[in-house]
Amino acid sequence: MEWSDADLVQQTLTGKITAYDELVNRYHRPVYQLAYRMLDNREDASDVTQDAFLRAFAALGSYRQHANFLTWLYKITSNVCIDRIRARRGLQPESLEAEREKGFEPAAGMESDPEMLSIRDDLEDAVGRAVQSLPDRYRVVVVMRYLEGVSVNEIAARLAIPSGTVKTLLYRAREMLRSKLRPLLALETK
Amino acid sequence: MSFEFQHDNPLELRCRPHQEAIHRLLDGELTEIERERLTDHLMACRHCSQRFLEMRRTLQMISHAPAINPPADLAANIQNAVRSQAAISSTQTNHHIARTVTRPVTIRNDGLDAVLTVQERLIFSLCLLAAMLAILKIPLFESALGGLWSVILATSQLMWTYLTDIPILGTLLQITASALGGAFHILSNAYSTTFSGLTLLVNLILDLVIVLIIGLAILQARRSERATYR
Ligand SMILES: [Zn+2]
Repeated sequence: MEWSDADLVQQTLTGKITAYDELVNRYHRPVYQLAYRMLDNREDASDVTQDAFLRAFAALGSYRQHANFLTWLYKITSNVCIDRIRARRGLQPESLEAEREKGFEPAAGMESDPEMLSIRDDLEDAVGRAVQSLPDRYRVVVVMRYLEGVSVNEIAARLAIPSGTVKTLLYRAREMLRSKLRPLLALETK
Repeated sequence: MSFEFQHDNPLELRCRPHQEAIHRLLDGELTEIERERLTDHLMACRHCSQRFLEMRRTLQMISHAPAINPPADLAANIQNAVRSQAAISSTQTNHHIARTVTRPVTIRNDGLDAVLTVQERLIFSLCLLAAMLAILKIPLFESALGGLWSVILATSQLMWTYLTDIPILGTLLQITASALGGAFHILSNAYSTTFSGLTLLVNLILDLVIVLIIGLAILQARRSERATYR
């Protein structure tokens, strides 16, 4: 029979480590995915995935059953990613503040990338590349919002910035993505 | 702004507010009236309606970005790492010679730390500080009943720390405990004859400090109210 996540957590807590193996099997793919989208580096993504599972294991006692296990795991993962990106200095308070002042003005460099036109045979990859090409602060909010499915307020809380700033970042990021993906969108409708 | 929207028609001034509305629509943030206004405009303006369609499709593409395959040995590596971590922590709890075991570098924190943001850590620290002050001043400055306030307060601080997933409930608990306990406290100390004016003054100042710390913690909690557990 198929155990539920909650069952597996319970079994792990009573010392049955193979139960946690099953959770790793179930979720290392989506966790890796999230980490990769956040960090844009395969090696870092593997590293963070392992780190996230270790932290989750250590904190398993504090996991509340009413929360979805993957949601909880995602939260740990994106926190680890945010720490790493902070260490790379991609989320400096000054750069975020500057963002807010620019408000809803479109960013420079938002014109579409001619390079994108040449990859019509690999449409899917272009989507990933468009996300990867965003500066750290934009990529982080886009990944949290659209891959992890987290609300604007939650993003604001995790990054410890006002939700108005998150909205501005999202607005600008979406405009950048639209511009980057425009050639593909045009192809689709032909 | 000559650089923007190279591939678009020059953006008309009347379209500007609708650009922002498109984003808010996709975020589900528009009111009924704003929605109608935008729909009217989208039907009349080819430029904006195309932009809307593009934006919607972009978001669909992003949400369904293709999966990236992790390295084939990732799951096995994680499982091994978890096993060695489990071995280490059981050695430590059994008070064996933990010093000889080096922890893997990947574990920088464990326990709650791993799931807390900086802000949440700050909230907990503030709560614990308030709780400590409240408890420490019992033997020094409190009449029997006044001590009750401190105890209730301290308990609620610790409860809050425990109920970390539900900051709203924690906040309510805080306010209720402070209000109830505060009433007790004022009444009991006012009728107590054992304390001199100076002691009462020091007590009052300490109370103020505690209330200030709690206020700070509540403020932080309101800023970091989390949506995961809605
Ligand atoms: Zn228009």
